Amino acid sequence: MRGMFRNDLYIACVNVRIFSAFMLLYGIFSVACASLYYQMYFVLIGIVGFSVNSVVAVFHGESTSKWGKYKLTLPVRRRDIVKSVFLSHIFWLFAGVLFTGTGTGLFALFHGYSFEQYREVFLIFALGISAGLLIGAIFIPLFYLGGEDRTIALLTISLLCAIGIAALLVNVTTNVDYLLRLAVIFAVSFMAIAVSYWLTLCIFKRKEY
Amino acid sequence: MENILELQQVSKTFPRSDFALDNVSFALPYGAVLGFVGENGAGKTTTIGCILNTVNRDSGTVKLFGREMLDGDTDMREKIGVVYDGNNFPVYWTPRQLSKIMGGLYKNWDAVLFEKYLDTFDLPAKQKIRHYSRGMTMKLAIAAALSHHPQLLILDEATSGLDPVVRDDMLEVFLDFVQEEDHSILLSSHITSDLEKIADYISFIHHGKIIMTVSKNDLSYHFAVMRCRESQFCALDPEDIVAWRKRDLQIDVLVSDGRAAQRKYRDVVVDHVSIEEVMLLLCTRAHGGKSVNDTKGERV
Repeated sequence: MRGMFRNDLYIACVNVRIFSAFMLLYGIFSVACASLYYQMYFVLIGIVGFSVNSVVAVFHGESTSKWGKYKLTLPVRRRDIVKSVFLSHIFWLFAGVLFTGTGTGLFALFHGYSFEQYREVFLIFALGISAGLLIGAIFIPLFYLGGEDRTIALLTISLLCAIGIAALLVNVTTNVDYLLRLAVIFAVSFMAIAVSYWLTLCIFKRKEY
Repeated sequence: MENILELQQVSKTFPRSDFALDNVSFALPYGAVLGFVGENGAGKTTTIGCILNTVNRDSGTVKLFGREMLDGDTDMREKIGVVYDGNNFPVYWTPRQLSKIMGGLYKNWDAVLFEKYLDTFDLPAKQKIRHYSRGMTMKLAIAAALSHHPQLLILDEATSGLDPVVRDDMLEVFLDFVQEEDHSILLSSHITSDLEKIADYISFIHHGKIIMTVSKNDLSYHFAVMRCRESQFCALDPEDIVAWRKRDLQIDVLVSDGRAAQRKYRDVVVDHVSIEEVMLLLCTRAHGGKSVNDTKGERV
């Protein structure tokens, strides 16, 4: 299990490194511009981007080689293969949160936020985390169901649906108390990832290569 | 003799295609090399899939090390090394990264042995697999398959696409591997010359059915091919015919006892038979029923 998780991290590392460089430049730009608007996009793009990178990288490794089939011959249970994919996804999502959190901290240090702006920024973080989780929750089972040749289409669908659902969650909870609103957004997103894990496991246990 | 691998009546159907594995049975004893021969699409990879559980079989049993391997039996997979044809690993890894990953997966991963294989096979450890030639990727896969000290190697077309020099090197490695009494190899291939060199047993598969499993010694010393004219072919006892094939004016007939055939049919030329020729005879027309009259009806 540890080896499989390390494998997924390794694969994602290549993409994440390039994406991090891009986000670093964007972060510097948004801090330099002192624009809260840019800063919010920095958070959203950063978190969603890290999540997308992680899932794409894991599955790219399978589609360019026989690694997907080879993995099943390793001393790892199918359950652990699925678990490592989800753990890797969550790991990179939170790496994205850490990355953008640092950028946001620097922004606050240099330019400061009002109380309302803090609330807005936290909501954007919640939106990003929710969208990031939902991308994995939608894409991972779809990938195992649909196969490698449909990866791009499935990823596009997952990305659009995830952002749509996350935005919807934020909108429908507008009149709810702020903290409860955050709790609802997180609860629904984490529930989605739990259901997705179970679904993926069911699909992957029957998957043939 | 105890078997490291045993398949009994393994069947698998694919609803979206006509292909099916039909009651595949064979056994691989400890310390032996079994060549698994068949034309492209005969069912070699599907059979290997059933052995390794990458394909879910419909019926039948597969025993590895004396018992069925379930998903949770990771200890059994520790003892199996697998090589598939083509890129086994993501192309943007380097062998060194591969070693680190395998080290986290196999309890017995031997990084020193892996490095030794990299040296022996002239594989640059820091170069990405993407930049490797086909021969190099196959050598890397073989190095990885051997570096956790497996007992059983399962090689699916592992030598196809390699040049004769590299193939010969790899066969040497395989022969070294089976020097240990409890080590065995299942080598699927349609390159019959490789099997002539290293296999102890040959199993022929055609259209998802095992046509024949035979020891290579039997094949070399007992099996033979009779070169018959049509009139001679018609006079043959159907019981003597394992398989036959018409070539222009000549009909080649595979027999299981060349000496007996020579004594019985004195005017027919009896030759030694190679694995390739057996494969052609068995796979061009599956032998099935051995009635000459039936087959004459179709052919003459």
